[in-house]
Amino acid sequence: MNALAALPLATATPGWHDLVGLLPELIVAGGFLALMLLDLVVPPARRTWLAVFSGAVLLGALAVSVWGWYDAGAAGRSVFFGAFAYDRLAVFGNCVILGTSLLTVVISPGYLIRRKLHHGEYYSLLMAATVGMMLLAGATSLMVIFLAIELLSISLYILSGFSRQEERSQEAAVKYLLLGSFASAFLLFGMALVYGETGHTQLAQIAASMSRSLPVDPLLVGGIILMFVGLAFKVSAAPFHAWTPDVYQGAPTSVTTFMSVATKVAAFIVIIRLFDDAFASYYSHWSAVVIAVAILSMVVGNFAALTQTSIKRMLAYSGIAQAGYILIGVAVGVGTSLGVQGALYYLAAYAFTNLGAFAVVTVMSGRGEDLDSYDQLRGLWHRRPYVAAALAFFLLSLAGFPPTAGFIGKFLVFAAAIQAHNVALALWGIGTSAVSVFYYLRVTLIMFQRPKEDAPAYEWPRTGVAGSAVLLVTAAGTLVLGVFVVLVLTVATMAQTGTLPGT
Amino acid sequence: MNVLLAVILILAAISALGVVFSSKTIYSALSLVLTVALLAAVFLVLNAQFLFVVQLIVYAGAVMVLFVFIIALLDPTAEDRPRLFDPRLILGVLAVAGLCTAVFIAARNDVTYDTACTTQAVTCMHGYTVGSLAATGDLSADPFHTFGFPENAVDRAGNVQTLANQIFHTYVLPFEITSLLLLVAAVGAVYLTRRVAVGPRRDPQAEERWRDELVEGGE
Amino acid sequence: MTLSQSMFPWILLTAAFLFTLGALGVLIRRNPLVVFMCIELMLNAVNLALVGYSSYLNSEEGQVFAFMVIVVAAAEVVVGLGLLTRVFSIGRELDVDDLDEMKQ
Repeated sequence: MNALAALPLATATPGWHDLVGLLPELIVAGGFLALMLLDLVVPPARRTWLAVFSGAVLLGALAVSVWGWYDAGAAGRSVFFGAFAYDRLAVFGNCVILGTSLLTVVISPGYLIRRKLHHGEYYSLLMAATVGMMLLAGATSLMVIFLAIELLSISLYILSGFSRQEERSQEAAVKYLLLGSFASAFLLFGMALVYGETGHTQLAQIAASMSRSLPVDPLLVGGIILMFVGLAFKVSAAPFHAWTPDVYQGAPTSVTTFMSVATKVAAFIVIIRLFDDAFASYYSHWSAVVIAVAILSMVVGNFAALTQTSIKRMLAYSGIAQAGYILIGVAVGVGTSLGVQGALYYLAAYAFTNLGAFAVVTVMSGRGEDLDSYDQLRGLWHRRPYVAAALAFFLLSLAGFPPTAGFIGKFLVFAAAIQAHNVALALWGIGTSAVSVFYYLRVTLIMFQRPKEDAPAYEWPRTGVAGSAVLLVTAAGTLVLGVFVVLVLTVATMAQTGTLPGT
Repeated sequence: MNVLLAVILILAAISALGVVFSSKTIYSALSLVLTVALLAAVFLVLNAQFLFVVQLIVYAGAVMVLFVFIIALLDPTAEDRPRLFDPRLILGVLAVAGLCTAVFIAARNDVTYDTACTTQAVTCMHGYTVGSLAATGDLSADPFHTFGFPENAVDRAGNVQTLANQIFHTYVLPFEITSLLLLVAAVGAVYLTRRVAVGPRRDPQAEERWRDELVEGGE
Repeated sequence: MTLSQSMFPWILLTAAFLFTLGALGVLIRRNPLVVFMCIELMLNAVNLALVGYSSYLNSEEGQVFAFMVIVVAAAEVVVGLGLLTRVFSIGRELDVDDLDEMKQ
């Protein structure tokens, strides 16, 4: 008879319960589709409307995410048959990603108009990348992790090459694409091995398979390490960082602002989910690799940043170093509760601070070309005192001075390393932080210098309402995270409990 | 069947060498087409009929045609000598050999590795619970004794209906993400290749030279 | 007609070989189109491993996964070739080492 009748067919059908868990992502995805259509209707002169519309969509998704914090509850739940987590870690990630995306959209129109890049596709691609990052933050299945990474990467490849007239932007996009696909292949081979050795693609089931006390499986260890290589590329940790300075420098600055923060947040949340939870029983086999990458990132990032003369490249190397500090939290996150909390706190602090620093570069980029070399910052204090003060504040936070967010973030991850009896790791962190002070202060000092008489000063554009608002919000965030520590730490602690919800 | 599979695998490996080491771009592309087609044959032998067809249509068909088309458009006669005797190459070859040996040894050990298999209801593969069969309880055939799908499960896994059933039920979220992904790729391709008033690096002289060479070559 | 189980390590070996060969190609070749093809080779190696495991484990997940990989590879190729045609427009030598606008 019918051969199908004998088959045990899956009858699982997604219901409202599943869709509610995916509501913020669905809102942004809807915004992406609507923006593509709106682009056809809105006259070219009124493209700022598109930014307003995207801002509204992102704000709505942010509101729903905040509601989701209470709706998901402390335990969270798994939706779409174990493919996606609706829990506080995902909501935490969503809020940071949506906030970043929102602030980027606010500063974009001014920048895009000055650079003559104002096209409708920009906002739709930004939304698509945001959806990819949000999906990545909640992904609990290897397939969703892979597809979310590709969704955000492909959108970002295009956005990096968004300035079609500019060779640098195109080159950045090609480099990012070739190296990004290369890294994706590593991630994918690792996933194939993990799937093959455990027999599952759902993280909860993988964790269950791995927690059985069996002899060590070498292919599984290989798979985990290959997956880490692929993800380390996405967070631009050394030695997989070669693309970062070129892409950050070549891409339009507003895109760099977005991707330097949001990609890192999303990728780190999935790293925490994978390594500090799903692969926790193989901790002794992967921890050495993560620690080595963390130390290498701190050393390479900080020392390479010393010699830079371009603010975008300097911030790129600084981002590599920051990835190293966050990896400290990940590396000691299995044995200690402080590790993951510290990493999450650091992520929030990094999001505000780095977004602020890049926002200054975006807002101050003039008509001709992007603000890039240190010389173009000379004398900023005398012409735009508030902007210069904001940038100085962000740089001090990146360097880790109190009372800023960066100080608390560093303090927490180093404390976690000491709690895990890995004092050497904390010392590496402290030592390299001391090095970083030099290049952050160098930029700060250049801003306070008087401009040279003979050299023509860079024409800094007016900050505008949107730019001022973004700088104000990011500076306030950096200060709040540096002063009201308990508040945010409570949030991070709540987000960290139970990263793999059961069905 | 074993011999057939072995022959296809060896041929695929040889044609993959052609992708990396041929000096002409177009030969690399054609070798890749061959590799892709041979892998499709492997999928058929492994009872993955759906993927066999998808691999042929999407990969060997669409993707590789796109590649060949772009090669013809950009630089049909490009020669790129792989850097032989480069220390990087020698190091790389050693790495390839070492890694492959390691994986092979690990995989062999895996097969003979079932120690902790105790319960009857759970099929064990080097100790781990095996996939969805354990969940559905369809264990009439032990995958240990028959590699490839057991007789009664042949309809299950390679079968288009079963796969479709899985994709539209359990894996509906990943499937929907792919739709978004393809949309982004389409938007991006249109944006990137749309003509702009001033091209980024369009050297009219070089273009003319290229046209001349093309005409001369055709004569 | 079933395969002998002892074939499985050979499938995984071929997958590992194709993967590492692709990675080697990315490192030693300079033509961006060939580099891109080597990446495709790596993705194909992953698919072989996934289908091999799926068959070995008797679970469909690997095949669904391989299907997703093919879709992603197609999307990546579309965007990648679009970008390459812009950057390496007619008359420019195809060489990834030429992408040095930002080297300092």
